[in-house]
Amino acid sequence: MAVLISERVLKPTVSVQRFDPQTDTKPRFESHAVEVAERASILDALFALQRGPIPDLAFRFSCRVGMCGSCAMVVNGREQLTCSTLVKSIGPTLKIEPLRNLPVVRDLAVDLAPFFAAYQKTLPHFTPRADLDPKEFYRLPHDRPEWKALNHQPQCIDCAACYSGCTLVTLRPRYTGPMALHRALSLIVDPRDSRREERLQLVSQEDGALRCHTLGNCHDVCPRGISPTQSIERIKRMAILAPFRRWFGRSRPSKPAANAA
Amino acid sequence: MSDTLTTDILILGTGGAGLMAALHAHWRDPAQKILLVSKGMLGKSGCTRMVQGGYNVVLNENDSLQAHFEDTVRGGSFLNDQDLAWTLVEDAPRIVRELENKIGCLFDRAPDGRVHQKAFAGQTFDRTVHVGDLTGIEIMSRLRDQVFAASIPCLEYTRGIELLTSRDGTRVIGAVLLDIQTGEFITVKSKAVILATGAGPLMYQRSACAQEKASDGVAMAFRAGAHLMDMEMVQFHPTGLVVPGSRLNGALLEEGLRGAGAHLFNGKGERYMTRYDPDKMERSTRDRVSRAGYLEILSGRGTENEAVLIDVTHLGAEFVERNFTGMRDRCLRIGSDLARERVEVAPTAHFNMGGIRINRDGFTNLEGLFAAGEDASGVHGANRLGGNGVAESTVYGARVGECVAGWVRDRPHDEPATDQVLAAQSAADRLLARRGEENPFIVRDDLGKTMWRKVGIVRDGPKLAEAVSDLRILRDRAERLGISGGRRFNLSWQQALDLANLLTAADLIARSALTREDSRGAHFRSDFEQTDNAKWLCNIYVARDGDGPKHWTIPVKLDKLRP
Repeated sequence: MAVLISERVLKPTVSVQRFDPQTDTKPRFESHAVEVAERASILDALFALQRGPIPDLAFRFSCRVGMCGSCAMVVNGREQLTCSTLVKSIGPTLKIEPLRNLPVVRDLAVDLAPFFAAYQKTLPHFTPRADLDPKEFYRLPHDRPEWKALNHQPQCIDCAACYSGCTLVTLRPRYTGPMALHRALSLIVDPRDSRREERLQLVSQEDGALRCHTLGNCHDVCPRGISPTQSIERIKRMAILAPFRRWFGRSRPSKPAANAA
Repeated sequence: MSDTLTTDILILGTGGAGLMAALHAHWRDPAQKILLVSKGMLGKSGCTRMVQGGYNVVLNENDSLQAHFEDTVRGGSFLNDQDLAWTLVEDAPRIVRELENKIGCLFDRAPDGRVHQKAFAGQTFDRTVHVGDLTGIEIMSRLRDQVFAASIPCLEYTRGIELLTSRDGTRVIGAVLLDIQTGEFITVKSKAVILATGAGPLMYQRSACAQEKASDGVAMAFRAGAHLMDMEMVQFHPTGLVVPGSRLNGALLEEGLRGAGAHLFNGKGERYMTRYDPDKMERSTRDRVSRAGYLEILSGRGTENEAVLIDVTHLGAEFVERNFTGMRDRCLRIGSDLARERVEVAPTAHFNMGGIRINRDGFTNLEGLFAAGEDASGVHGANRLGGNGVAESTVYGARVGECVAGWVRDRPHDEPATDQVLAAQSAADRLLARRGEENPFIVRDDLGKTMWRKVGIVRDGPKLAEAVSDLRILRDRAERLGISGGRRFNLSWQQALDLANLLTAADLIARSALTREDSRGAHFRSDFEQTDNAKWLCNIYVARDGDGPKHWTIPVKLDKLRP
């Protein structure tokens, strides 16, 4: 049976970064003890601060169910999706900071522009193959190589936790970063897309997949359990094999025989 | 302190409706200047992103548009605008193919490689296309990618404050916006304004919606003189999580669980739907299942946390883990394993069937003002079927975008009146300057309680009348807010602005609910329990008349299907 006990109350001490780059020279921390329910998330602890001691605390959130990816922050040194992480899983003291590798707008809210700018350099949008019938759904039987080749990892919510956690992004801000590469792979292996090779070349450059040192931080911090590292490794392998595949003419899938929905 | 921008098409809202409108306007005429405005982040805000179950669409040769239409209209207790409902089912197959083949969504496939359609409650055919049980992530990220590709500009973290109208009030000519991050106002001159802000019943204490949806669009449209319809029709979803003390409280467990055969039990272990809809049981429509759960809890047959229990364990742990990964994760987060135990749920406010009156191309009674998605009304009647929501946003977003791109051609821009702009700005500024004793977050909580208790799942005349007067008191309290902090990224100020719009929409809901003296779909009156087709097969309209609302009714046109 589900939990039927009445909720206990937790009293964590929450320390949050306050920073307005327009007026402050450096960030400071403000700390308060708050009361939250036993199953409260870290986001709930921020709401407790907001309705009490820090009504003008700036932070981002939208869906609060782990789907929009707006509320990732660094909690006690590690990236967390704050709506999906319980206070009690962290402990009695929480130190909450904004994501790393991104400029701070105010307090805990970062500007995701560099993250999405890197993403936009990877040809991230789907471009359909001209030879496919737009009135039909592409047949993808589960026993066919095309299906097996798809990037079957959980859906990415572009929360930027991986971008924040990646050492290589810190060292080289021009690096495309884990999320953009992971998503690029999903389109590179999508048999419906027409620009797969172009995209593969684009993301297997020095500031793309080759920059990854396989440290795996991105996987460690991903709230969805995705391994961008694994996707990047696949990109690297495909990039090495691409010239051979071109010689043998196997760079594109053959059109499936029956393609009716 | 205020920038002025000029565009041809201004779109407020960046969920499924807003982005489809932008893309279709751009595809139809790339020469038109489009400006998107998102209250949150592009692709990440609003409720399309939160779509779990999926998208109702007729694709199978054994299904038919007529069947989808009849499910929609019967599900809506015949209050639907049948022209709008038919347009939904007729356009959905084309739009879902566009989502897959042009925008790039990769919907789930059955093992034989065909697109998979799953079972949803309230429908006669398994017609819901999906991506696992977190469909909205795929739809919104792919739409966002196409908006990037089309280089359509978007002001993020920017909200609409007020629509701007011509002197005579008959035309909408732009809007005053507020950049949440900088706290600066922006005036936009536009030939057309599309409202796609997603309405949202966030004025209830338990709600499933994304935080942006504070009825901004509906409230702005009302103030500008738009005709609204069916405001009393607020959908309560039967299976919202019960997590006391957390914002997760009221978040959904998806419709597909009941579609797949979930059972609902009360605190005594009884499968109570036998008493409310013995034929369809848990697969009955949302209005009935919600009411049943609510009444069980009200009569003391709920759990200690005032919940009922959803049970899918009999479907097999492996089945649940595979098909409802997202829902199981959501429950695991709060310490319950959906695959192996019953989970506490209760009804939660979920969707506004009512809203701005539109025709099939999104026109409103005000020239230059268009609406699509949850801001609009009429498609779903008195109750929406699960899976028809994202279908509506994308179908009507596409239609309105396509239409507006042609409509704005060769139209002039109008110069907004300075006093109108300044009035909108100073109304917002006045809130920021308030130093009263009321905490905006507490007033918001109290609004939630009033609406839940008095304008909720089971209503009656005296309670509704009380609500109308309670709302007046809440509006007075909202005049005495204390807001601290400055202009920049101040969520307290934003909360005060949200509260003003929620109070406006709440009042419209309560008054329409008081007007409708029958029970129909989501609107249930314990003092008028019967559905009265002789008298109440009509839509309740409301528009601003001076400072207050004016109501009138118009019979539903039953030209395609009769009860």
